[in-house]
Amino acid sequence: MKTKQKDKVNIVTLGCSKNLVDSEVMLTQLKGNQIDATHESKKDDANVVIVNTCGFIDNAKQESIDTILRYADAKEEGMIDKLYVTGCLSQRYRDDLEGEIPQVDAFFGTMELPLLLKKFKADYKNELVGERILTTSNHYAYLKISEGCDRPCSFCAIPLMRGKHVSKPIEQIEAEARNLVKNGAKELLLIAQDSTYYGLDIYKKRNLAELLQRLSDVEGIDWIRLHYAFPTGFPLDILDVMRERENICNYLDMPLQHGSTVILKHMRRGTTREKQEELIQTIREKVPGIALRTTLIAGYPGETEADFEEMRGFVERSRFERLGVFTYSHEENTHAHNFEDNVPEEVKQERANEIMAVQEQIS
Amino acid sequence: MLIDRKESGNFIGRTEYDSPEVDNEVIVTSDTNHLRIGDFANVKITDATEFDLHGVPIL
Repeated sequence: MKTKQKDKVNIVTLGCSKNLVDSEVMLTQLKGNQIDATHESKKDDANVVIVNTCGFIDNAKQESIDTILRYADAKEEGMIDKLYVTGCLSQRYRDDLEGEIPQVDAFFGTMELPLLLKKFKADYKNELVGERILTTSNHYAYLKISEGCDRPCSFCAIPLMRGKHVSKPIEQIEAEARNLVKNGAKELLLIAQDSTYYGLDIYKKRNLAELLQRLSDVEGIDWIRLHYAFPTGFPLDILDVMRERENICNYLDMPLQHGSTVILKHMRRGTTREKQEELIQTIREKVPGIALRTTLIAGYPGETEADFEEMRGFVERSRFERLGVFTYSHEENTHAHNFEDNVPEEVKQERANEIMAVQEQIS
Repeated sequence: MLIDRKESGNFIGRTEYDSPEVDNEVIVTSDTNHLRIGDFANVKITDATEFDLHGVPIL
C-alpha cells in the first residue's frame, strides 16, 4: 500500500453530460475543502478513486461495472487505498453491487454528495453552489437547468435513478452562467432530462422561453445550445426566442425515440407520428435554417416490420440534420419490462443500421 | 466555427449546427498562427466525409 500523508483523489466519470456536471460539482466541493482532487488524471498517482457511474442501458452499465472492477483490482494489488462508487448505477443497483464487489469501500446515490464528502472529513459547502470547475475545455460548458423527470416513458430507467423533475430557479441558472462566462465559457450547452418541461414545477408553467431570453442577455455568451427537448407539450414560444436571438444556436436536440404511432403509444410518449411531423414542420417554419438532432430506438418490444417501415418513412421525410439510433435495451423495473423483449438482437441491429443508412443519404 | 482543440497539427472545431461529442466536426489544416483554441474562426469548407468537414481558414 502506498504511504501518503494526504489523500490524492481521482474522479472517473462514465455516461452522459449530466453525470459529467455532477463530477464537476464533486471536484469543486472536494477542492473547496482543500482536498487534492483531479478528474480522469492521466497520472497514476491517486490513492483514492471515485467512480461516477452510468446505469442507463446495457452497454453503459457494463462499461461502468468494468471500470469499477478495474479499480477493485487496483485496490487488491495495493495500488490505491480507497474506492468509492457513486452515480446512477450505484443509485439503481446498490444492494447488488455491495454484494458483488466487496472491494468498494462505499456506494453512494445520485443525491448523496454530502455523504461522500464526509468520507474525506469534508463538508458540502453551500457557498460553492453554482461554482464549477470545468472538465471540458474552458470555452464550452454544460449547464443543467433541471434534474429528474416526470415523464412515464415505458423504456426509461432514468426516473428510478434521478427522481422527479426539479427545475432550478432562473436566477440560480443565470448566476451559474455568469460564473461560467467569467471563467472563459463562450458556449453554454443547456441540458436536463426533459428541458421543455422546464418551470412547470416551480413556476406552474413551462418557462423555457423566459430562461432562454434571460441567458441570452448574459454578457459574453456567444452560443447557447439547447438539448433534450421533449416533443409532448413543446413550448412553441421558445422558437421565437431562438429565431430572434443571435446567440441562441439554430440547433435543437429533440430525442423522438420512434416514428410509428403504435410504438410511440406503447412507449407512452404522449404523441403520435403525425403530431411529431407537425411539430417538426412548425419548428422549421419558425426557425429557418435550424439543425434538428434526434435519437431513435430500434427493436422495441412488439416492433413489427410495418412499425419499422413507418419509422423509416418518418426519418426519410423529416430530414433530420443529425440523427442517432440505439438498439432497445430491456431495463428491469421499467414499464416496458412487463413485455417480452421479442425482437432478436440481430434484427434490432439490422434495423438500426438501416436507419443510419437512410440518414447517411440525408445528412 | 468554434475551435475546440488541436490534434496532430490540425485544428478541430464545430459549427453552430454541431454539439460536442455527438455531432460532426470541422477539421482545419493550418500552420497559421491566427487560430487559437476557444476562438471563433471563419472557415471555407473544402471537403466533406461521412462524419466530418474539412476546411481552410479565411483570414
